[in-house]
Amino acid sequence: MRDFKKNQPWMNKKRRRLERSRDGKPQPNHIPLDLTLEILSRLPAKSILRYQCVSKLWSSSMTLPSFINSFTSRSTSRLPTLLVTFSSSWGYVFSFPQHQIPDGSTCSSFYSYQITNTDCDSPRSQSVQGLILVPVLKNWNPTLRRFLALPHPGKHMSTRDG
Amino acid sequence: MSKKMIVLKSSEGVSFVVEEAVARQSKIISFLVEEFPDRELPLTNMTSEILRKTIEYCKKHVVEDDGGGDSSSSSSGDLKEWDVKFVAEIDQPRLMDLLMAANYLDIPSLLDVTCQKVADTIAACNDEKEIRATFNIENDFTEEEVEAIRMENQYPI
Repeated sequence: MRDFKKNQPWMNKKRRRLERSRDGKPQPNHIPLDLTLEILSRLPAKSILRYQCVSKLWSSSMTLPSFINSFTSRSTSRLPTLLVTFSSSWGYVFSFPQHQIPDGSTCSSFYSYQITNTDCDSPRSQSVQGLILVPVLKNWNPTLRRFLALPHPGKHMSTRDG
Repeated sequence: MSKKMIVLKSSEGVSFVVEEAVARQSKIISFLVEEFPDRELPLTNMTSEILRKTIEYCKKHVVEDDGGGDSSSSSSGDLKEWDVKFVAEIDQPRLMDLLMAANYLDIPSLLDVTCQKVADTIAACNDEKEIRATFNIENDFTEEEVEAIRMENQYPI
């Protein structure tokens, strides 16, 4: 049992902090390393990019596939509904809380955003994990509210299925 | 029939006598109780203050399976409200200790509320400088690197 306790990595961290706070000035606390992901995945989606500038650890944590997955599943549990409309020169994206939809009268959206520089008529694919592929090989990410230009597939890619 | 009690001992050597059902919300304690019955469990990395707080949380959240109408059984709405108040009253250093206690003792619901509270604190910061100052995070980026992230991530409004 004693060994079990000794192996807890945060004990050392905690000891260091206790030593520091003995000189009367309590120090601000570190976020434990193994809980960083757990905490970051609870941040509001719309400003997630702001947190990438905090440190290299945060920045790299937020681009981990495991983080993106846990973030997506957490966001999905909040059940927002996304509406995307396109015309020839512009696009609009709205996100609504789902419980407001059946009512149909007054919906206030989580956010609405006009997509600029679409260069396209309409999205021609379903959303996949929240990402929407629009023509001219651009990906619209509603969480990050931005387009991602995809690299143009070379000819060699067309033979991959065969 | 009297309820089975177990003894938890804090880092200062203070003993806390707790109902087993209360303490068993910690998966670690649940395991230890089975491995070491009739022994007091020393929690040498938890101060009395944090242990008291943890027990307070577990008492509130214990599920009464004997239906005794105990005051500790609450509706889920009341519990949520109670949780919010519980973490709101704790200052940040203690919140971090409680967070680590929840992680160490493996109490998922307490870990959830404390993590959410820390996330809320981060979200309430105005910029990355305030976040670093609040959580004592070292800025290991160069100016150029920060600028590169900003350029890559500029998004309207």
